[in-house]
Amino acid sequence: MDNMVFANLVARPIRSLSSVVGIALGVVLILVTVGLARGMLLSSGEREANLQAELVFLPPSGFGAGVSAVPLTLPVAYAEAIAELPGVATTTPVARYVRTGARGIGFELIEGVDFSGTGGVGTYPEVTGVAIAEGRFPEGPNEIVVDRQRSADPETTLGAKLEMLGETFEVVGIYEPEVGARMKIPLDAMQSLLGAAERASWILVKTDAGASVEAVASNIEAQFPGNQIVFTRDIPGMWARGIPSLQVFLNIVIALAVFISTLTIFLALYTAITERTREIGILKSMGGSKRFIVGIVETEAFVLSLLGIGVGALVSLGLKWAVVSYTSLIVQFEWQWVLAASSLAVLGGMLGALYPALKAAHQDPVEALSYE
Amino acid sequence: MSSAVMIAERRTTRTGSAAVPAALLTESLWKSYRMGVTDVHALRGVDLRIGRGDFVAIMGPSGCGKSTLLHTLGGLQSPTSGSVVIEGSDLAGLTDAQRTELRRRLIGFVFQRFNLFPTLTVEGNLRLAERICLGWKSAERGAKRRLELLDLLGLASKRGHKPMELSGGEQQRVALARALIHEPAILLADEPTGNLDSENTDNVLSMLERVHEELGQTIVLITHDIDVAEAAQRVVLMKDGAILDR
Ligand SMILES: Nc1ncnc2c1ncn2[C@@H]1O[C@H](COP(=O)(O)OP(=O)(O)O)[C@@H](O)[C@H]1O
Ligand SMILES: [Mg+2]
Repeated sequence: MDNMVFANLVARPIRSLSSVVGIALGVVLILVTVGLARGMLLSSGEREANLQAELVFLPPSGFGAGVSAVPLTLPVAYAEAIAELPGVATTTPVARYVRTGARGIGFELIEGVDFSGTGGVGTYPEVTGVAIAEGRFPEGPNEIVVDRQRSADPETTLGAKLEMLGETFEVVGIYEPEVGARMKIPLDAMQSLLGAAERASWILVKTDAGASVEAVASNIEAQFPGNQIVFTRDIPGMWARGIPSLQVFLNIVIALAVFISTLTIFLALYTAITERTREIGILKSMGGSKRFIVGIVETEAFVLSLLGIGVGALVSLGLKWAVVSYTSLIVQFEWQWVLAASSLAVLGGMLGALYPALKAAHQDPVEALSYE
Repeated sequence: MSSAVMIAERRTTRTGSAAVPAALLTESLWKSYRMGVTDVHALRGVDLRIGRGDFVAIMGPSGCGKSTLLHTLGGLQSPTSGSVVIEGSDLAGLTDAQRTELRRRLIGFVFQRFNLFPTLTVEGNLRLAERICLGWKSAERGAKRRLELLDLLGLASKRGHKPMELSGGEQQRVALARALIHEPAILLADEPTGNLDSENTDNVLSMLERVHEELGQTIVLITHDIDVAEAAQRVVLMKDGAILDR
């Protein structure tokens, strides 16, 4: 062993290991939390983008809340009125309800959509292009269809029965492609279960083939001022940008992770340099400059951080596998976040090492040499 | 540099022994430690001149200020008053960083307690010194020098050992090799045989003599043992922080 940094790390294996675990914890915290949030937002965003309808018409208190329950406030009558406007091919109302996710973890979106085409408007399959891949569309109130991914779960596979809003639903079909919520029940069933007759959360608007979507949108806006018109093509971006309060939460998690990294490394290296006071005196007697001594301590922190990042990344992958396998949640790792978590771990580690390093560098060499 | 040299030369002429330029020069060197309400004077006006290539032993009873003098000569600590001039550079005019740089270039320390890094091998201890003193660039020169020194000090077969696996005499020879790795002009040794039995003492002393002969270093050896002092060409006696005989 002729490298001082590695010799120091190997000489105190438990301390090195606990520092690595501390850094890893910070990395896991960032990767998994952000991964969960991003997974939820991005996959929802992608599924919304599969809508063939070009516009979404929402009540004033909108869509930005994203994953929160959008109450059924919008009168379904708007669907008919909008369908009458020039440039509009057809419309369909959609209700959305949020329930606790599989095995009680997270949450899950359920949509009530119009399968049968009541009133003078289109059906959900007509407007969105959704079709049945296996089984059939619901024909009664206690029937539900799911997308491919959802059907992979035995609890919601074709033919399975599940409890929701105090009723038992049977999965009667699997639809494609993935659009919006993964589970869909008849709109009127949801309306009656939620006590919101003739109400929906929003209305999907499909424009005529040749019509200008912008012109149709501004016309709808003019006719029904105060409501919101969202372009379907903008939705993935809205989800990706996330929800302001979620961002605050993520920032807190990130700050916590940096704090853990900083504190772990600080404690480990502060004890280490006290223990090595004499060695620091020797380095100084050999002509080791302050910068050299700071360099050694910081290099130790850097190596510990790198090891922690490696361990943290592996643990995160394991957790992702577990979460995806055993819950209905989605974890999405993106390079920029892996990079950010790594940089933050290194930053936290180097920051934690700074005070111990400077303290070591400023030690009086003669005093240090006589330290027992 | 030039003004420091001039001061050094002027002092040399005044002291009246200008023939050989001094490796180390002190004038009215005082060092006091504050202990509660009283001052402990470890050095009380030391005037000392050590020529280039000299092998000098500083001898005196325990507590007379030998280590304090040696640390001050090597720029590890500053005197309370008076001056230290190392190879023409007056330490008083230097910043802390410049003093460190000077120590790195010109001084090699050997201590009573060997002070090797316990987690590093013999080779690792020497490499660390190379890295500090020579930087990364002179790795080739360092490697050659390392082999020569290990040979000279009879350590060639111990390169892969850790300090704990060596005898005291061997550890002190490793410390000596480490102090010499960058060919310093001056070797400062603080009771290097203080922890050794007589056989190892003889061994380390003969190594010091050999180093002095073959490498021509200026050596200052501190001891309280007259037998050890005899290895040097000149003995300086110290008592109560002052020099008795020069
Ligand atoms: N850091 C210090 N604080 C107070 N007194 C000190 C300190 N270092 C040395 N001394 C005192 O200075 C005197 C000289 O010490 P030292 O140079 O170590 O002597 P020697 O090496 O000759 O045994 C002693 O009386 C010692 O107690
Ligand atoms: Mg001493």
